Amino acid sequence: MSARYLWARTGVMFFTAAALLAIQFFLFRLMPGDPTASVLSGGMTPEVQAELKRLWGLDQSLILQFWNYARNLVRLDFGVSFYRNVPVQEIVLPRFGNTILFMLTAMLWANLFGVGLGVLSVARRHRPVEGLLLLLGSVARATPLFVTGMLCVLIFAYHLEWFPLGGMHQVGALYDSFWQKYFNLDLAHHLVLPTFVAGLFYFTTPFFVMRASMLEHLHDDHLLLARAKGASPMQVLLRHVARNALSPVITTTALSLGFAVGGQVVVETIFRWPGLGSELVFSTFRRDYPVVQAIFFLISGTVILMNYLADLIYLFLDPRVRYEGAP
Amino acid sequence: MLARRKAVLIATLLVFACLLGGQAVFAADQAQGQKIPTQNFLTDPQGYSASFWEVSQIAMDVWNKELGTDFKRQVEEHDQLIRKMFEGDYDCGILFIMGSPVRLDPGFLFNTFFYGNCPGFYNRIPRSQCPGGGGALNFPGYFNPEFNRLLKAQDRIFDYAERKAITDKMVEMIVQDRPALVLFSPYVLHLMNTSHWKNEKGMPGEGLGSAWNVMGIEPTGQDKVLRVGSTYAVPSINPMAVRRTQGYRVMDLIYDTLFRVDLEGKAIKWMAEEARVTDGPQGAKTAVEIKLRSDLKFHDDQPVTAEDVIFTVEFAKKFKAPDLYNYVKRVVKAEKTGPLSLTLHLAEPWSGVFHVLLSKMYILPEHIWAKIAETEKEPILWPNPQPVGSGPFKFVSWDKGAQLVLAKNPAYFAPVNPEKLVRVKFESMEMLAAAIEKGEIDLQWGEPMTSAIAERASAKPNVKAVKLPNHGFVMFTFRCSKAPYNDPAFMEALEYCLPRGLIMKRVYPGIAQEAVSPIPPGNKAWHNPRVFELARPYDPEKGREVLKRAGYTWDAQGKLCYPK
Repeated sequence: MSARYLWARTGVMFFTAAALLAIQFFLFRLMPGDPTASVLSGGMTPEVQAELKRLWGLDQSLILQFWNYARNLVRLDFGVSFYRNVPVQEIVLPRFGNTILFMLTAMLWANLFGVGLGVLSVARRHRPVEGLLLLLGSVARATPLFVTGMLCVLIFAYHLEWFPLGGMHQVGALYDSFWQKYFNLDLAHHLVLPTFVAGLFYFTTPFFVMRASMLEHLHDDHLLLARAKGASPMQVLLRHVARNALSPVITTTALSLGFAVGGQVVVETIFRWPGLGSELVFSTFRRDYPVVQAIFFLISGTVILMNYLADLIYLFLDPRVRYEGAP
Repeated sequence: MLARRKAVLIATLLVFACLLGGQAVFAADQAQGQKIPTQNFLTDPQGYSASFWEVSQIAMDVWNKELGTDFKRQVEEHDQLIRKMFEGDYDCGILFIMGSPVRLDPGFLFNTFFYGNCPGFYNRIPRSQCPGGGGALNFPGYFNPEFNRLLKAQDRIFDYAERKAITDKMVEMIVQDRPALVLFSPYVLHLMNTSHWKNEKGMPGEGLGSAWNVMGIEPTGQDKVLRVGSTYAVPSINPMAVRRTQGYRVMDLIYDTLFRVDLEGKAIKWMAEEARVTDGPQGAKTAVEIKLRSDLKFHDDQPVTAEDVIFTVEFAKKFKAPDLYNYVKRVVKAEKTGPLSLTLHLAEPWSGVFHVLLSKMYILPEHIWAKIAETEKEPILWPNPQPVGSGPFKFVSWDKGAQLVLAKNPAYFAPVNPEKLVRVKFESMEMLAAAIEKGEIDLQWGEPMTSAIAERASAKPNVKAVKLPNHGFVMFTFRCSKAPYNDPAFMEALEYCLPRGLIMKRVYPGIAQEAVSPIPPGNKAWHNPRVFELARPYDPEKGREVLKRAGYTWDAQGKLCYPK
């Protein structure tokens, strides 16, 4: 991997982030309607309305507003929430952490099971297990998340009462430290059902990719050599086929992780998980632009970063891959 | 003599010319004999309120069928709908006027929703052309000089009976002038789980969400943690920046006010031990003398003094506290008369001072906020991370958008039953109801429960659906300076063809109270029952007769045409 490529790729990443920043900013303001409608109540006097517009910088030109927004963003200052009157970072950063925790857990089991079941489906080709796994994968992929989510809440939380109905902790639970808040059984109990639902959807990507990739490698020439050297069919499958088939899985995992951060609106809303997704829904309805912009920035930033990392990892994992222009 | 006659003749001609000119302007959008153009009926998206969607559909269908009008739906996202109505950029639409405590006061209600000081008043665009302005939410652009005169008169009267007589007249005027057609008043339907709490105290408009209920609800056992759920998020914990009803519910617990609106809807003395209106330098009945209770303390054990009240008034005025400024600016001067007593000098007599201003103005601790006023660039935007008030509960923590925790203030002068209050935000009514069924949540605040969910949930043991009267109401509002709504005959015909009974039966069965005026029966202190006799009953035949008498005709397709 050349330094030139690395610099170029990094440059592209920053350029994409900057372009997205501008698009997001102006896109919200191009939406039909007046952004001040959520800030200014009809019950306020014109003096108060003017004062509030000034306080939130809504009396400035769009260009000036964008300039201030971009300038503050460099200092990780996302502004003040129109609705809650608190700095946006106080709202979005803890929620970003909650979403990451939720998604990493979901993706971890989704990938472990996805890859494992992918290998199993190839190992048990032309047997009933393969058919069952393909059916499971197809159904899980095709079922909308809100259906799976609502069904799981209804069955496992409402009727069987195995899991709580939602939230991240028991109602009213207070924690003194970060450690106490994030490392306890209560949180683990609350985490099971939402991550199961999200994982059920996301396991299908590594499952199908792993399976397709393994099938591609199943007739590679080097496998003949391995067999000739006396390796058992299972050894051939795991050491030589599965290992080579992992590259695309890693790439797609990195990409889907980025998308998954922003894609949990439904699951977070159903399970009252205090993450970015549920906050996005809430703030969009209230046209709380500073919060919505910050969330979009974090989501798109994660996608861009994951794309970048996927590109680098791919180069690192498979030295045969070369990009155009790269030596 | 001749010259004088000529002058009179010229003057008369000029008056006629003006009148004709005015008529021409008036008729500009009312071409004689022409078909009444399509009228856009402004509603929220169906997903925002399926019931309002249905209500408006029923009314439009009946009007179009019975009167030959052409009402068509225009969908706008809620904030935009409000903005359009606010600016007079609409024909007609549906609105729910929520029953917040302050709206129990008729002076506040009328000044906000029906006061307009010139024809076709709208809050923003023609304000400069409308000396004296008008009510901030006068969506119809209602203008009636006699109504305005009465409104000003009742604003200066402190005697209940006298005020009530004038209020009754004003309500009757609105019902007869029809700037808006009130449809019904939905009950506040809240769910509660009775496992841990009993003897709830409902309040008009607030349901179970009032501070009275939170303080007075009784525990059934040892568990004294009151867990409340709401689909609304806590908007802000800065008492000077609070702008929404759901914000006031939390502020009412952390901060305190000189008066509070009681369960009957009347303003009663609270932090104020004594309060009376006397004559002052500004004129008769312009001085409000207040004496504070001697046992008031902020949560940091500092005493509440007259200086804190005066500071609060001045802070709200100086920094233009969004909701308060409109009222606090009526206070010309706040004067200390003793360690615990003060006088507020009003610009003019104002009967709503106790209900509207003093029940809404949270007393700030000067020793904290004086520093904020000095050091913060924009004190109104200060997030107030650790609120210190003098209310019945102390702030513990706020996980924004998820959970707010308060603890009982042991030094509070009135009894408070819960030791701790936890307020949890839910994304949907279904999830909230399920949490109440499972006992995770004890009771509901804010947005009323839908009747179908309440019916199902209340069938479970320990779950109770509490149905409480409301002073909020649902209305159709019309831009009444614009044809055809500027014609009383057209509005009367619309009311004759408004199937209030059908709407309530089909969309709000058993969960709404009959109402035809902006002061529904839920507002016991100010409701005028005579309005039911003045409102037009559903009778399409009479509606058509009214239009015929006024000269309206129908074209070959049966579409309604303006009079020739």
